[in-house]
Amino acid sequence: MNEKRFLQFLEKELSGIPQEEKKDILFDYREHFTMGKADGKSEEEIAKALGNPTALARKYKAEYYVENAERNRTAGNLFRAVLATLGLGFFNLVFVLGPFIGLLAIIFALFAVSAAAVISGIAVFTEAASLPFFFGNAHLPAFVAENTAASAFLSVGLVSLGCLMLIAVGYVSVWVFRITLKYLKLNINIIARR
Amino acid sequence: MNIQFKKGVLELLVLSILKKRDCYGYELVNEISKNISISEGTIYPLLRRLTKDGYFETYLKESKEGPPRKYYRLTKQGDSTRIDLESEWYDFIKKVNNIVGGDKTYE
Repeated sequence: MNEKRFLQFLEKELSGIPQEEKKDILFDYREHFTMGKADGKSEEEIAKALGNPTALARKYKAEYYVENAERNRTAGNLFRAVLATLGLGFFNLVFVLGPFIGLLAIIFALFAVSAAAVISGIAVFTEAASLPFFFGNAHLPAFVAENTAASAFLSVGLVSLGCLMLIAVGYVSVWVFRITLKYLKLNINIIARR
Repeated sequence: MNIQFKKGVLELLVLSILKKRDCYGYELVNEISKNISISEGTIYPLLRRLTKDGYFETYLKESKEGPPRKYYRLTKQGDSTRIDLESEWYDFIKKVNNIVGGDKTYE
């Protein structure tokens, strides 16, 4: 591979990261080629010693997307960072995608449970409130449904429990976000330096 | 040399070289690959990351032949990381040597 093709491959694979960064990265390799040639090496020799430009570009990309997710903490940026890290090797399907899906599933389950608590609280309230009008169709045990204090207590309790759990899920999500980014950084440093 | 070893010490190598003097990328790559065979391209992403983390500053300097070169200079933060990594390194090889054969001397 000669210099031109090396730089072309690198540039092509760097698509998606900002122009300014791309220029910066290409500058380093162009400089490297210039120095190497001044040292009397052939373009092919230099390119071979540098390694695979596609693999290099993927590493830059993964690093860029992880930094980006750190700066702007949105779910979309986190997903992009995870995807970019997957490009570093087959290995990461198991060691990044697997655990990540697992964590998402846990968050989703916690969210579903909290939402269910809020919804049942509301349901208890509606049922108790509508009982005088629809006699005999109660789903609640009679001693609760016919006791205003008990049903009010149950419904308020369920709604507040659900809300507290939702707040907790929010904290858990933020924590998962941070842990994921930390792990991705570690992963990039360990895996991609070949 | 085992590839896992190289990955781990690359950061220490770069920091140690820059402790002695400011270098441009090609110089650093040569300095390292003179002693240890590495895939040379991987030095540049490392330099970039460490610069972003505040371990180095870069500046352009004119050269007699050809375009200006990008030099790397170690910052205070970089130097304190270097000191940490260095002591970790000595600690590590001491422990390994204890097991592998501590009575041999190494140059």
